[in-house]
Amino acid sequence: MTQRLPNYVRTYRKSAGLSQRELALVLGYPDEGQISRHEHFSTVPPLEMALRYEAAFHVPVSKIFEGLYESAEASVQKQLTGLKDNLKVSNPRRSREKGNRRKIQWLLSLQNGTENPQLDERASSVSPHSVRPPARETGIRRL
Amino acid sequence: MQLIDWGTRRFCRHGPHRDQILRDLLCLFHPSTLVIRRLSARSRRNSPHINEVISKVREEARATNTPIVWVRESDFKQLFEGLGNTTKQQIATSMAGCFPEIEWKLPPPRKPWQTEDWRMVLFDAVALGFAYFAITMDPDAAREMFFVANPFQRLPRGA
Repeated sequence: MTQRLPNYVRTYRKSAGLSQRELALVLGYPDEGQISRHEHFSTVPPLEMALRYEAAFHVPVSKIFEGLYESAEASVQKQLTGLKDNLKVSNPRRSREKGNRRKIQWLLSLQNGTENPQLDERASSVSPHSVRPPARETGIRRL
Repeated sequence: MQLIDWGTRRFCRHGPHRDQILRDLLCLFHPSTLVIRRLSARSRRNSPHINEVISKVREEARATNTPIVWVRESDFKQLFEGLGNTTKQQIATSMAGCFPEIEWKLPPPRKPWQTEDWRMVLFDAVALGFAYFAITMDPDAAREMFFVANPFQRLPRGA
């Protein structure tokens, strides 16, 4: 199995034919030092810079920082499993159970790879009659 | 198949940083395999200096538990001759077609009185990686990739 690198900044930079200094200028760094550190995986860029990378290369952040994204995803999955186990424990208070059911549904939808199904259903089931009428004009009259 | 990084590294034969350069490269990319060309004893490239570098690379690979795969020069030659490439320049041009990100590095054809362009090393390395993929991993996929990237490639007679 191939191991993912923490990021592919160097690959995308070289594909674009840019030097480290040129990329630093594009991203708004004063010099190429930070780019070099990112490429050698010694530091991780802040969120704003990660978004600037995305804007510069037209590639999603999760693709540029693929290794980091994979480790983050794995850790979230691990935490989700823990949350699921916690929710399975029956709760005597009904109101809590109702909330738990919703959370479990959300977890299942995440596992199935679908977006939040409840919200989608709700959005599609809105009838034209249920739309609130525009509020009456009050007070000030326009001249 | 995708290129992650490409380039050349220079070091002085007796320089103090030679080992460090090799170690840094291996630590940075953690390659799953190192591909080296096996030179025959009669090869003109078989020089004590190159053999020394290769033994250093082997040493470093052993230290980082990186497996080494040897591609024989005859297999390499046979593969590219089968694809209609006989000269180094032809192989480099085909590789530039397969990997457009390095196309701009392709040097112009060498005149007989000129020495080899330093950028040729890069295309040699890419061709070696391609040969490893074609010989040991997936020959059909490699062939398909080659002809999709180089549609006007002429095949030798009988191929």
